[in-house]
Amino acid sequence: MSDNDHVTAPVSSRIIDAAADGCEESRLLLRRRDFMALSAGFFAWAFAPRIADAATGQQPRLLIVLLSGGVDGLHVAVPADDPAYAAARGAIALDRATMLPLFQPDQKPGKRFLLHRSLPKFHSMFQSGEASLVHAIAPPLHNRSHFDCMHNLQAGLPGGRPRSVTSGWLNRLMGVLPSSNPVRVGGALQVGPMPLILSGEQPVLGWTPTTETRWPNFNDQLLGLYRDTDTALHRHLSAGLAVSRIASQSTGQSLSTGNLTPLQTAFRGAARLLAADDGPRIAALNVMGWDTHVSQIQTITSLLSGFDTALDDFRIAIGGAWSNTVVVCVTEFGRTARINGTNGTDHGVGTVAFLAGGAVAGGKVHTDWPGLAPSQLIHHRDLRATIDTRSLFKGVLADHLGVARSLLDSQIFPQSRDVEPLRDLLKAPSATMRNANKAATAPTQPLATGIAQFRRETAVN
Amino acid sequence: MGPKPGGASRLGSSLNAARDACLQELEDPQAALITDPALPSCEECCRMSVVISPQAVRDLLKLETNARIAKHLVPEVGFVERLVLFWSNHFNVFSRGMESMLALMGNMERTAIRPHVLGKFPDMLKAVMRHPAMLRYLDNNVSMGPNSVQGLRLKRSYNENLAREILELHTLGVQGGYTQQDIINLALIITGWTVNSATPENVAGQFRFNPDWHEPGAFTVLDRSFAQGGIEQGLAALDMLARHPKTAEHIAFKLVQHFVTDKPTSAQVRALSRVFTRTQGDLKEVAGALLGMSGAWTAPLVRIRQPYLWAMAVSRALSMEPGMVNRIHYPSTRIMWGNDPWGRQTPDGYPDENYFWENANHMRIRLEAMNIFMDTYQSRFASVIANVERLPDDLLPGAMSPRSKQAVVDAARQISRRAGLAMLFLSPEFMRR
Repeated sequence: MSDNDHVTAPVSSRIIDAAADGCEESRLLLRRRDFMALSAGFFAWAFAPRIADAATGQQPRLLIVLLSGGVDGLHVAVPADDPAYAAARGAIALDRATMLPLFQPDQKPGKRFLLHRSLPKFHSMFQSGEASLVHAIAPPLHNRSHFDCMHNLQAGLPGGRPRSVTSGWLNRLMGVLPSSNPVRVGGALQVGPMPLILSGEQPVLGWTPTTETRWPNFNDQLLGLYRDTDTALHRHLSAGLAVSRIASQSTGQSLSTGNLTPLQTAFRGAARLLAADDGPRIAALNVMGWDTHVSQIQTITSLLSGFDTALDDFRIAIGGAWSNTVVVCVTEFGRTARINGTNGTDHGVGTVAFLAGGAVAGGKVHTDWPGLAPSQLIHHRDLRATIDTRSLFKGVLADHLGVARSLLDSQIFPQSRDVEPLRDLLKAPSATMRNANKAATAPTQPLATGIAQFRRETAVN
Repeated sequence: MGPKPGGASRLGSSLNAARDACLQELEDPQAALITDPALPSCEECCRMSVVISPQAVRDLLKLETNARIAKHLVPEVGFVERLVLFWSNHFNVFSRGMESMLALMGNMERTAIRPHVLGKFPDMLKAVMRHPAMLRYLDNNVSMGPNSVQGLRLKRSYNENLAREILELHTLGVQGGYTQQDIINLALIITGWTVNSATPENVAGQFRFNPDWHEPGAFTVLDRSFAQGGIEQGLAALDMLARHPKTAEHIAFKLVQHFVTDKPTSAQVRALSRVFTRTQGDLKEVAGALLGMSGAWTAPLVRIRQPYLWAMAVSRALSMEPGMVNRIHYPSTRIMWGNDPWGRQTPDGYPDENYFWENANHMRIRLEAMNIFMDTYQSRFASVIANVERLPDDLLPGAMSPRSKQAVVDAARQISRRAGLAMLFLSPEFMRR
């Protein structure tokens, strides 16, 4: 069976055009077709017209990595010139002589940072101008709750807003891009369970790294049954198995084989799917375990090392598309400046974010350093956040995907006009993408599901 | 919940027989209750939710989950259990990473939802909104009237989290005609609906109406004014919302969508919502009307069983006894992947739209999960596995296509008997409902 067997009939270009012009009815129709396309799976993305002759390798790729649990930014990157560092950290202060410099020898004191030595691969990306750090950053909600802050980060809301919003900003982004935009056409990928950041009305491709099935011939027999009796299930399972195949197939990359960590499997799979010609262009995945209340020095060392390896595997596995890639790694909060009673740290506020990728204007630490002296901390305990995580997201979406400011301020990050995008994150803002988005500068009416859709439709009748 | 072996011979295999069996379940007033004496009382669960022992609350959640699954296995049809799950999802709660909440979620379903599944919707609404699980999940336990005794003293105020969800998710529904001011007013009306702290121990963690936190004054919700008062002010507002026509429409839509079709027609919704309104939210009457609805029994099987329901259908098909539940570890087989009990983070509950469950990712995971499940537990189901070739006709008499039956036989003969069973559970006739 060839992969072409499960490509759906193309959606009429008339409907797509009407939808791009904002025709409500055709948007609804298209939406249903989108779901069918989703059902049809990976290769069916070819149904929509691509930008003529655009080499898909040139299209931007974006990976959002959610570092869950609260990464201790002060353990990842240490301010070399902050006199309060050693006193603030006590027994978990790092020996600065063993750390990796994130600055040139001639750089003046003030903005010099040192990187944890368990991040050697990230460090070499930084040195070759393909990685940056953002420091003293946090989502706008500062209540130190994992769930609330992770929700705030992924829902893209201002601080203090209740949790009513049940869609993620990455999903809303997909909804406001014009239907011909290559990022919209390629779609988004969830790796593992659906994270809130990708939840919502727009269809999302899922891939979950799992074990292989064990019974020889069983898959073929089941596919045969579905082919004869249930075309929808046949499409879904074929697509699921195809996605899984692509995610696990090595295509001549110089990657280690043998026992991979689950993190390596996930990062490699995401890279291969993002690299594929007809593959998704946006992906999100979760890296858990950063909640280092106890014995932080040991725990975080192995966490950082595992993350470093997986990120570097991603760089290699995505191949040539790396040059158009941005990876953004964020966490829900930082941790207390001071050590707690169990050689760890408790929930705090300001922390770091990582940027990597060939499109990143690397070698920089973006920061407005707030200082570690007791009076500079929040409640004498937490690093202040001088950068809102939404600023980082906005800067990447504006310059990497060409998303208009008006959309960033409303649909994608509601009520955020006062949150400025971070500048100079990327090498060259993409003019191609800005043109691809020309149709989408004004907020559109959100699509409805469930009772809202029912009410809208029955009101018309 | 899915057929059991021999079910058709006990009930008869016609559609009428199935409908009669469902109607008969509704006649048992105890049908929705879990009466297992091993489960702690509401008071005890509340106490455990503030006097925290992580191991104890995790054990309790396991106990609650196992009791729930055991209950699913008992009835011949299980329509009432399906209703329980529907309402539990309608009033979804989540632990929000707070270990202490694990002590409460199972209890809320057991003590605030189950007693009203064949009762009245207004009673269920009022019970849920006074349960510590919901109050804590949506932050009402810390919401304080800005002009209340303590609000003035501590300079604290209210949040609108629970009030918004009551209007948007639990009663009227999106575009149900309420305004932002209605949300604020409802939030003020339910200030003081909170939860006791750890002392005194005899009421620890339980619901409490605190008059010193309650915003004074009369407030209007949907053009109805609710006079200044204590807890009765909020109860009256909930009663009004529970009986509102938009609520009837919203609930009717959700029930038809869940039980009958992905795309309810306005005629179906109108018919059911009329019953809801006429009976003032009598959920037994509404369930009965749902069973009698045109299309309820003849609609083609296009919806896919959600993973949790699929796992239950598999368990029932395997003749699993309630006593076996604690020896099956469902999560590690991924058989209910993405659909774990009390695993949905957001208050809207698991989506009911078919696309959310019937897609490439889920299908591949089901295939692999079924491999793992059958390999892991083959010895527990040896007698069913031995009879795999007769099972299709036993479980789904007349409903399985010859092609599907052939696939079961082929897999059983060419791969293994347990692969044949997996083929049955993955067949379209078993996956869809």
